[in-house]
Amino acid sequence: MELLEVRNISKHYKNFSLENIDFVLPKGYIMGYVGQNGAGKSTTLNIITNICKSTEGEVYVDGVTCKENALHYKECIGYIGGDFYYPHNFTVKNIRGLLKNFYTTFSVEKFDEMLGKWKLSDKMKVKDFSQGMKVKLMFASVLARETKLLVLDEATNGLDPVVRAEMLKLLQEYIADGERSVIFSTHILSDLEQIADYIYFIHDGRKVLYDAKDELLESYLLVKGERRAITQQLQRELIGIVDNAYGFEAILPSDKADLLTNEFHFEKPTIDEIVIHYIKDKE
Amino acid sequence: MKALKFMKIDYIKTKQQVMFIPVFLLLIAAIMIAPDSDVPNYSAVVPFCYMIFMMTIFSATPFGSCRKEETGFLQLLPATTWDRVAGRFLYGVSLMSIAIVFGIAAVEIYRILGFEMNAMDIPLCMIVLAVGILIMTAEYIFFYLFGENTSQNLLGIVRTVPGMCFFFVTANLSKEIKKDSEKMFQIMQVVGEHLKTIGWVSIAVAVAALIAASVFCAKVTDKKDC
Repeated sequence: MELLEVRNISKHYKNFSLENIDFVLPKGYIMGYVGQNGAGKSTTLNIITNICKSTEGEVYVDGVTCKENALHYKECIGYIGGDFYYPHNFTVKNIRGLLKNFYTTFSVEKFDEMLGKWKLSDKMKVKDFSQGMKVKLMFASVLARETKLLVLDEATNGLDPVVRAEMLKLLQEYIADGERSVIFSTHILSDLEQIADYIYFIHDGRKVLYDAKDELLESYLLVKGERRAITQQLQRELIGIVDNAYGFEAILPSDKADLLTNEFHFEKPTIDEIVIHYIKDKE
Repeated sequence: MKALKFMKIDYIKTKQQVMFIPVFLLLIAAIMIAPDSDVPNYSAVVPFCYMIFMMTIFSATPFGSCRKEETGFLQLLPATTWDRVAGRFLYGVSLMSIAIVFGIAAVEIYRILGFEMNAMDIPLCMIVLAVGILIMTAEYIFFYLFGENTSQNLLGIVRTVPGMCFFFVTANLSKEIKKDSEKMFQIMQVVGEHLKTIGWVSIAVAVAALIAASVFCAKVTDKKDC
């Protein structure tokens, strides 16, 4: 069953438009939402969290739109952004009080347990926290309540590899019961490689790719070789040809593999490589 | 109920300012009584005026101390836009209430000290309060229309507007008195005769404007992105 349904959402700004974003995320899965800076990732996630409103389309979380049942919709979502969103003069104690006041499912015990584990002092003002501590605090405040959908907007950017790995492990634990899902935007595509089940790739406000990660990785080949060996037919099928010291590099849909001769070397690409070559192609 | 929770958030955010409010209010009360301590009839209007004026300045602080990300977070809390906006208005109203409580307490203390209160003081204080509420209402409408995450510079400009208006009105009033003192005297006489009614009407108008503004601001905020 789908936990998140994004139905043809569009958002128009003066200099940017998000056009017809449409996808579903079933329960128990993680979706990586990728794209360049300014591609529309945060706009999409902000529409999902209802921080901003779409010009067209609807978003359903656990079967309801925010208009239909704002309280249930908001209780279901846990949001962690790249920017720390609690007021800077708040202490952890203030944040605990605030969450307890607003969220019916907030567990003080769970919250304190996570604070203890991560050594986050109760009395410190959050403005004195390091970036890693701030992210941990946001994770603690979200994981201490009964959410169904985690929305992470570049939340792990700027974290050291150890903390990042810890956070990724938390996300996998979060979806383990098969009832909850995560949508996750990041620039660190190796993170997605590790944990994402679905990939949605957006460029300039429009969908480029959307598929299960494993299908996506199976659907393309990373092709390397010399430029002169490229036939006209192959040229048409190659995506994002990049010249380098040894010839060229591009990706090719797997079903066109019969166009490749012995002159080419090919291998399974990473998500990173697929995204880079698609962006190159769009440029 | 949730509006009260949002009001509490504003109080935590402006904790430093809130801690200084009683100090400021006591200072105003003490300074205003000192030069007139030999006068048996003491007017409570001037210190009350200062208290209310101070609260109109303080009531705008949460707008200046709010970052864009914070507004987004507040939007995520399980509550309606109306709860959020009403919470901000309650914050302003509660500051005004603090000024009223301090004003009443100061008057009582003056009375204990042997000063007598002027009969016109209560209606005049009501008018002052109504003007304070209207200024605060206008400021809130401005902030909700032009962005909740106001920069400190814009906040500074908006805060100086009531003070500038005050000087503009007093300067023009003295000009008018000089021009036609007879007519002004007649007007003042009429006002003096109906001061009680004017006091009640002005409070009613201010409260109605405040409620209407809160509904309007909630509607505006509902349509806007954070």
